[in-house]
Amino acid sequence: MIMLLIYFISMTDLVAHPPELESEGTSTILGNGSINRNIFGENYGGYGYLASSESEAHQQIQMACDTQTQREYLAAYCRGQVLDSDRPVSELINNTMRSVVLYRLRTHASEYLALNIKAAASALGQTVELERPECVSETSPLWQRAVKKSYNAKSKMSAKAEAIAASLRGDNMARALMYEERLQNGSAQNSCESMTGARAPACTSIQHTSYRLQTSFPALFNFAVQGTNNNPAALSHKTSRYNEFRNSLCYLMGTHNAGNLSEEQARARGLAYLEEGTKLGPYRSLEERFGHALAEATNAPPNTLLGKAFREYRRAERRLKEDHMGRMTQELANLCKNRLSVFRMDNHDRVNIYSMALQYPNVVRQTILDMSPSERGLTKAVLCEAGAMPMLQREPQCNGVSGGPLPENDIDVARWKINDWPNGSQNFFRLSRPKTPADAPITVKLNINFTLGPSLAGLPDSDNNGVPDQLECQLQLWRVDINDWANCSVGAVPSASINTSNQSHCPTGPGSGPTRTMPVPPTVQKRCPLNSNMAIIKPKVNFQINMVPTNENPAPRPNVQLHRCYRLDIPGSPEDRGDCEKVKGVHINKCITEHPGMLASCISSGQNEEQCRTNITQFCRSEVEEKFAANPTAMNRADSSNYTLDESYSVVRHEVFHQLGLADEYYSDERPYSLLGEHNSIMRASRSLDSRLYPRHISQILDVLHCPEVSGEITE
Amino acid sequence: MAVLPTLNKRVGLAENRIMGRICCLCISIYFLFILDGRCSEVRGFTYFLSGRDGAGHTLFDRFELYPNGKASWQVASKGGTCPSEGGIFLGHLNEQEKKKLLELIHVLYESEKEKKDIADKTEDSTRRARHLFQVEYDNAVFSFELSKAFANSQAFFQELAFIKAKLQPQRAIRMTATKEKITEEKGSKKQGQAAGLIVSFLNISTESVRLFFPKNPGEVFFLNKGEKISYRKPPLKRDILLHKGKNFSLTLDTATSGKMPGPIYYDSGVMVHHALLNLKKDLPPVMEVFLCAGESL
Repeated sequence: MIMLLIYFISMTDLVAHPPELESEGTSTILGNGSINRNIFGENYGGYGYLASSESEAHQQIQMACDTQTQREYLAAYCRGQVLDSDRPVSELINNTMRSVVLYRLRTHASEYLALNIKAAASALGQTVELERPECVSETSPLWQRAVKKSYNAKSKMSAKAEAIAASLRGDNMARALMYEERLQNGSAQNSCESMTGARAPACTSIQHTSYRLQTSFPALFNFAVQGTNNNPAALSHKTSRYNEFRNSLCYLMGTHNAGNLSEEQARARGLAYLEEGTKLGPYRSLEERFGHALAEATNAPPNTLLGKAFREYRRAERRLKEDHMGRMTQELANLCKNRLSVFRMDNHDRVNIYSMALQYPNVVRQTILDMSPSERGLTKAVLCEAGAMPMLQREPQCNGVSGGPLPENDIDVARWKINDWPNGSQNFFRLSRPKTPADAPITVKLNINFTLGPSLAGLPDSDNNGVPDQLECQLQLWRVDINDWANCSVGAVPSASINTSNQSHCPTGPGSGPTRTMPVPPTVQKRCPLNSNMAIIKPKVNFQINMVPTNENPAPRPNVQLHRCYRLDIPGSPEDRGDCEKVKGVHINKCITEHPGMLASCISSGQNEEQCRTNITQFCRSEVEEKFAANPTAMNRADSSNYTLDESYSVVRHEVFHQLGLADEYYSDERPYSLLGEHNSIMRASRSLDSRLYPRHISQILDVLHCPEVSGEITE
Repeated sequence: MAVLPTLNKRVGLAENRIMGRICCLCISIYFLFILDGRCSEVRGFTYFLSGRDGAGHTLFDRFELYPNGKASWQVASKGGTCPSEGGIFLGHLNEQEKKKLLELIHVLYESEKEKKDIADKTEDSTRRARHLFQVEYDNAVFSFELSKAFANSQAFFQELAFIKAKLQPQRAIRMTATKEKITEEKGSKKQGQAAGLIVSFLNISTESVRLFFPKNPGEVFFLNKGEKISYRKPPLKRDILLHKGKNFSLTLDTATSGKMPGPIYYDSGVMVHHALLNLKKDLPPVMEVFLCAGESL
């Protein structure tokens, strides 16, 4: 009897504190040579995101929650055991499973909160004693490490602590505040209150980014659960010190290089910069303004206006941190308390799991990344069952998606997709699948229409088929490259010849059409898939990408225009940008800047300034004309709706995948909080032939299968 | 005479009424000026060219003229068809230069102000260049995007080009690349080895500049057509603080370095203000240097 009692006691303890396994999870960003490892943009997520990239970390929770997929998650947890197919998923998930998942989430949350408290204390020059929440085991390795004073510089914990400390830095908080206001402006401009019509995708993107930003900066934004036990909802608000901090950074910007302005005028000036700067598309200039002001203010004498503004800014920053520390301490103390169901015993873990996902989405992401595959399966199934997924992941964009379900009906996608507001791309492609065999791959069909810009009029057409020889040649080479590379990447073919040089091989003169001798670019035979982890793609896909010339005006979408001359930075219409004279004009101005001594020496020789300027402009014009005659394409800067005829294969690959709905994964002025990909992701590095597709890219293309409009394939 | 005061009074009243109306008019005009900042003087402006081209190369160019006459120009690559300098350049404009540039920016603003929907649109991922302006008047700040034809802005951009030429490097790098010379002496270690590229970075500015050299050079160095690149000998440090006037060189190997025409790019891929994490306070922020040294190959 005593033995039985001891057994029961030990079992109770096991459920209360289930074993805490920590696998290596996905590969760490530490030590992989990433130059951006120390850059805030790479791990801004507030909790480290120890995946190979931020894009990948977010993909980990971009999972389906239909019955079949949930069963697969559970099967992974049960290590392949056959699950009772008659029982609904909600019955397969029992309270013990929920307790296990909740324990893991709470343990990670305790680590997150502890690191936040310590980071704030450290920034304030204080020391703190952390009090362990009762639902976290005393022996928890995560908690043990979190309370330690220092970390090994190469450990996961160190990266997490680094990311959290970064989210509490004054300059980063200032940038977060400014970008959040930029998003708020975007939301107002798109009338997102109503969330209807053609702008709904923009609103979804804005809201998703805003939510990510807010959860990454807990000192500025706060989340709470409201509603009822059956209908919990998110409540987000600015923290009490937000406006004080906002005013101080406006004051700082307003006093920088302001001349003889009064304090009041400087404040108004700073506020105008913030308000105007957050209305603009690429608001990077505002960040730069703040950066310059802060850098100069650091050394400003205290009796100057700038010095005074700096003191006010630092005071506001300190108060934010003090408040943050107090709030995090309180959250740690309340971590084990049930949310919304204090007096109800039924299924409160489900609400608590929901609550964790709402309040600490970064923690949930990191928990999943830190788990072993079987634990991940269980956690995903439980999160789905708790209804927490909509808060963690981004909904598929379903505007312009029609047809389906596969295989009976093809799915057509014809839309403007907002990948990452304000950026989007034309998507016009079709998904189809043969009825047999059952596991036949989905074919992704894309036709891109090419037209010639005015600067390419009169190119030789030796076979008189209406398509210039060079265009025929180039389209064929691009078409072969993109299909071979994409199909080999996903393993749709057993082997393929992959280009090894990015240089154009089409002759520029007459006789280069396909009826003539086609150039053969250097290739290497590769086994497919190019990367072993692409084998996990499910369902399988293959690509049929066609590139066709067209004379239709306007050209059918998606379309690309080809040019001899093109500068995307020329203001005006596409015709302006494709005008060789205007391209030369840009270079003449650059030439003037490149010769700083010329004007001074001309004036010192006795000529008047106007005459000197005319002489220099003439000199630069002749320089540019000479260079243009030698190599006109060297003066171009194309974008991807406007190629030059020697566009490299890797850039064409990148742009084609934009047209299939993928977002850029590199750092950009317009998208300071967009997700970054690996350095060899085709959506990050378009200049290298070694850049590759990742499984998430295929999942993102197939996202439309989750749309209710074409349901029947994956969605229940 | 007794009438006179009354008359005077009447005249005075009439005068007062007229004066009152004039005053009202003056006040209205005054408020019109106050409320419409565009009627006031331009104090300064920021010009910002943002985005990347189809190959992912940054277009970053930001020029700012402050009310106190200070000019700051931050640029990824300084100019020309194959520029070799990038960074931050500073200077101070005299009253005449300042006035001329501010007049041109005012004209540009006037020609563009009708277009109000600059932020109210989404951008094609495939088109990435935007010219943005923020003009500071006495009483307000206005933003606009340059969207009209090139001709409208030509005078402004040419004036700006002359002003930029006068600025001095504050934190800037000059990059050069030369083909390695291989001595074909018998027994030499280098015999039979393909020629590499010697890439040098010279700090031409008054402040220190930090450069990144990651384990995989392919993350920051790009040949014109994306060929593979490796270090002959990896740098001892991944990030190097290059002081004023100092030079740092390394040798890169590529399969085609001996034959490849065209430029080599160094693109750290990060922006100035995003590099402060984990740096000591006295270190300057990381430069985004996007340089091209094709002329010397």
